[in-house]
Amino acid sequence: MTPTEILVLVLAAGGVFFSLVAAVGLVRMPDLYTRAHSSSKSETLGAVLALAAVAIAFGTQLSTIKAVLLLVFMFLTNPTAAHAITRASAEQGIEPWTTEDDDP
Amino acid sequence: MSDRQGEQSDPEDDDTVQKPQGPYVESPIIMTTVRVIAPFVFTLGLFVMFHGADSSGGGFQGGVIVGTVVLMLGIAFGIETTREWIGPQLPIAVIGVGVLSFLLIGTGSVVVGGGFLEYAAYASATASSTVSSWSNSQSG
Repeated sequence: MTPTEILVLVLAAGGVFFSLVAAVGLVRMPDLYTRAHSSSKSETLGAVLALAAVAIAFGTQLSTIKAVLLLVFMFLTNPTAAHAITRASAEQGIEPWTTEDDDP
Repeated sequence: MSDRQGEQSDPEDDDTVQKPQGPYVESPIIMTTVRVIAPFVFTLGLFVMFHGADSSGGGFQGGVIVGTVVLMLGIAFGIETTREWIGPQLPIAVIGVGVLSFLLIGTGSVVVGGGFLEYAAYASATASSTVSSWSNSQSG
């Protein structure tokens, strides 16, 4: 295997791992805020790593530039969307889950 | 302890439920991101709109992406602010221009000599006109 293939494999495996972590967090976490926490951070990193793998696998093409642009905008917009959702829910008066509450 | 806190938080809960929604408080994070992102999303929407013939995309998808820009502005700067900023005339004008352009393109193919919305008529018309002009220039 060439070093490029190894790099693509490592990046893609990292992307799959962090996306899996985000999915597990989305299922297991108790309320909106912790779910947004897990899905925004882990999912952003997973998508960015997968897109980096795509960009490296394409080599030098026009598709590489598109993948890198997509990566940059994913990095910008995904945390902002999570921020907007949690901020709107906080303005609506949704209380965070605490250990005093019942199990969800 | 926990019961007391529950009693204290109950009236607060009622307060937040009964409190009317105040004016929208802007978030600098969302506003800055939307300011940076909006032109790129608008360009992507136009790209998808005009790219539909030979690639993924099309008029509807591109229009959805362009409409998303307006939604993003509404989320970032407030719905009423965006409504006042766009004004009442621009949406009506855009709707009218869209319908009119479809009608003109559709009836234009009839004028050229094809059926309604028959795009092949344009190709044959332009080809024949270029051929005729070319032959004219050759003869002249």
